[in-house]
Amino acid sequence: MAGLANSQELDLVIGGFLRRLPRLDPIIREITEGTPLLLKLELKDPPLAAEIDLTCTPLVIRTDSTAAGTVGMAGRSEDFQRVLLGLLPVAKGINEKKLLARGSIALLMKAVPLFYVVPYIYPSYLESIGRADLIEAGEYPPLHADQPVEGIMNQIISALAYGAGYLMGFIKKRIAPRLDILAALEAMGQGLRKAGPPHQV
Amino acid sequence: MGKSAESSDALRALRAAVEAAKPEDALRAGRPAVGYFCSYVPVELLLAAGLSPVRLRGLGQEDSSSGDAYLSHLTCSLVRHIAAAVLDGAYDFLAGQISVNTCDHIRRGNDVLVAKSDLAYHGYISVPHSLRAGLFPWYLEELSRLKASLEDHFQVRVGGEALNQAITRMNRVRERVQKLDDLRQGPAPRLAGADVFTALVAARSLPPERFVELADALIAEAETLDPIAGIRGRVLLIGGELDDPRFVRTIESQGAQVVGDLLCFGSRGLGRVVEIGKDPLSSLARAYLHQIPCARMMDEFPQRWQALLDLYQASRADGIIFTRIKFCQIWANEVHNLRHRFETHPLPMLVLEREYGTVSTGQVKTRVQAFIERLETRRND
Amino acid sequence: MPILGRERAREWETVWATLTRMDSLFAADPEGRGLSGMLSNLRGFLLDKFSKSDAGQPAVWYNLGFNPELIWALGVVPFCVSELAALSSIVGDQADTEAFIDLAESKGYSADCCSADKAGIGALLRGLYPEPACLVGINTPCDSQVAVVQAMAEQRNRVPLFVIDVPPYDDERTFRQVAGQLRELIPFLEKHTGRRLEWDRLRKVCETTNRTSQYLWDWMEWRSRAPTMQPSKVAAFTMVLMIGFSGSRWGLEIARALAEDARRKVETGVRYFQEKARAIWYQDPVWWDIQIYDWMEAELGLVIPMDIFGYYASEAWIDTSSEEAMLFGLARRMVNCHPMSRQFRGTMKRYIEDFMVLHERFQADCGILAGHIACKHSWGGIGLFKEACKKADIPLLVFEFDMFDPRILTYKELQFELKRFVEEMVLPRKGRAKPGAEHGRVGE
Repeated sequence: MAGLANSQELDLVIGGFLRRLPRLDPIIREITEGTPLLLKLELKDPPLAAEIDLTCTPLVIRTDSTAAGTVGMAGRSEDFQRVLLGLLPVAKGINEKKLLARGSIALLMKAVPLFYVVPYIYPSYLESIGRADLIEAGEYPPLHADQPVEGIMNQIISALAYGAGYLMGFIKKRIAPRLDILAALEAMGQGLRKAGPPHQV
Repeated sequence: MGKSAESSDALRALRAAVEAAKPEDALRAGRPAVGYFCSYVPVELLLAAGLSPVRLRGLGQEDSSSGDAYLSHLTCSLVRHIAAAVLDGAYDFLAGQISVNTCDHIRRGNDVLVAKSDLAYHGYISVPHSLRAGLFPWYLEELSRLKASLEDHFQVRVGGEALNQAITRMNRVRERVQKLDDLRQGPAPRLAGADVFTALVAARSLPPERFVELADALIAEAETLDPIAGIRGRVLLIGGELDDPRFVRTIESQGAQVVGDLLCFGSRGLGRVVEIGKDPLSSLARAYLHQIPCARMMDEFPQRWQALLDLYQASRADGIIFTRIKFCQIWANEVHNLRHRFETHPLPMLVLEREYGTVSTGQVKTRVQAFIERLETRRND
Repeated sequence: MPILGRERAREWETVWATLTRMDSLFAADPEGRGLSGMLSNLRGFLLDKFSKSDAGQPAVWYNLGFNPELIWALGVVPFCVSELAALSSIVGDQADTEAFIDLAESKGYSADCCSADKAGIGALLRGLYPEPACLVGINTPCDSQVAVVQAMAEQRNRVPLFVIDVPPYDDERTFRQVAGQLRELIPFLEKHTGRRLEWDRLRKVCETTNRTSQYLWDWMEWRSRAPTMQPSKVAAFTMVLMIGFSGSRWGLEIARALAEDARRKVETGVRYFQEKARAIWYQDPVWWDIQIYDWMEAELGLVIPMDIFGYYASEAWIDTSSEEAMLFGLARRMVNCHPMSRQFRGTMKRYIEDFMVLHERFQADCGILAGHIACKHSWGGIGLFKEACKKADIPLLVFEFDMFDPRILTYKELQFELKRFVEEMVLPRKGRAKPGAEHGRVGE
């Protein structure tokens, strides 16, 4: 994989991204429905083992653990990078044996939506660390099939969120190219945590 | 010091029959010996065919390795020991064997014997897993086919008269079994449970007449014995396969008296006399199918429970010891079912899992001792 | 009752939510459409059960060896006692299955028995099935069934039980004996469910079963091609189909999805790993994490074209021309076609013969006997089985594990066994016999 030739660099880029995830704890908690799982990521060529530990609050990222994890996802680093970019949807990765999942299906299905969200923030992160060269041009397939819309409130909130995203994208493109999308999501997460039901971990 | 059963010649002879490497009495009769696996095989059919029925056991073999090689360590150790005994030649006196679809272990034991032993005859019967009336004709037909197969192989004819004679012979055995049962159940038993159990196990390999002779002698002697002293708890022994009186003796060494059993080698399969009639094969089928059911009978736990309650009451038992051989699945869940009943009808129970051929004496003693203490405490409360 | 109404028990909700998520995930990828087809019909099946239970329709409980055509034909709701446990492992949370097992054992249910049944009793103890109008117990495929039926009956000891006894033979006499019992079962079911069996309805159910059978045979045919294009992880699903869905339209649709997916994959010919070795998986699948089959394919190049649980024998066809013919056909199917019952209940001869047939037909290089520790019939025949494999010169891996409980043999330990067998035994041997004999290059 161009630019990520060794573990150190991999740790710097993908590891670095993962280590920023605790800032998004409330949002991740929401996405994973507060499930106390420990997602183990096992990358190879070059290797990196990382854990997203949702059994504690805020979530903890470890890259030095040998724990098996509640659920796991393994694959080549190059493929995982494409998952983070949204170029390789999880289902496709699994079907094509590029991603090898392990553990309780129910918990995995709680963890998978993380990869629906990550592609919207990972490119910004790469830009922020000066590695925009890693952003590949490509066709971005749908990450998952459309879910039936469940109720009017869902539609309203989705429309509002779309509007907020649109506004952020507009500002980033036209006014403030270094706008920190993670910070905005983090603020959204704080609001969510303040007003929403608590997730027991 | 009063007289104890230890001085009984009859008991010594019964013990010798249980511990013998070969069923000498049966062989002395000069009839071909046929081994059988399960209490659902009517021995009367074999007797009527001029054969000597021998209930298959481990024959005291400590080593089951040739059986283990085929059956694996996850199979019932009784079946492994039997297979080993046959493959190693300890059963070289057998002219054949009869298996039953009693359980997965026996079915596979049969497969091994068919494929690997030198036995000349292999009989097989499929016994229904329910006593529903609609299934009786199948069992009767299976017995009829077994009879035809025996006739064909051993070149004999098994007529109604011969069958009725065999039923009569075995009914005498059954009557003695009932008497022996009574002797250990009374308020002041004179025979130890282990001694009665020895006789019951011996009944599976001795010719009926020899068993009757020894049993009568033991029964007569028992009346002259002093009641057993120091009984701290009266227990029933229930469960699957157990043919080792040493196990019962170990239990009783802690002050327990085994006052009754519902075991396969005990009185469960021999407790009721068989009706003599115009259709002896039907009589046999009815009696064998309707014996106090083995746990393989899928809708008969309520009947086993009732039999247990009846025996518990009749023998004035204080508690129950349940035993089964490790990996036996059909008896495994009896514990679940019993515990479920105990929720509304509590009875004290100790569960002892075993491996065939060994009597983990120390462990059994410790657990029985604690159980007996529990029974004493319960009685005093 | 938890399953009734909108407030279902957490375990059912977990299965439902997971199925929904999986369906949504895999439907987005063309390669996952076969799987998605299975999942969406599984959802349909559950939705139907939920709604019928919500409407108060009678439920009938049964155990693993029974096929539910008669229950479907009566229009009542079949519940296999092991159903929720299996669903929790395969499309739910494995932790729920383990909790069921632990609960059953805590109530005296023996650890020696099959985890499918232990977990079934655990689910029953948790009150996760609608109360039954009656129970049907069958002695196949193994002793564990003999035990679980009694535990089920004891837990509901006021509910009537009907026992079907399947003899250990595989001849016409046996089929007739079982058919006669099915004939007896009908008035029993009618009496306790308050429904009357309409023979035309049973005919339609049997016709659905026949169409399902045709799809399963087609499916096996597509899977027998080398290289096998459909993932190994669906190789065992015939068994699940027969126990839970036999005669239902969902079963038909699942079989169709399986067959069409297998055909499509063969026709498009695109594959994503190199097939290096083919094994017949005998005994029990790794239900506690079927994703391990993906690992076998990707990391070892090991493919399971067929599993004993997937093998669908030719005796499945039901003649629907008369009542007697239908009952005979149902009986024969239950005795001689139901995976496990076919191989486990009789002698080792059938068990070994079927393995040899599968090995030949599916062009396997080796055999893997995944020895579920509760399968005493299998362990009891292991010596004869090994001898037969040795005689046929088939490399064989044998290990002890539990199909619903990873605490017996863990994921890592299982990986170790498989890796060592494939890399140190099968591939070197294959290389010696025929250098470069792998099937299908990546991207072909």
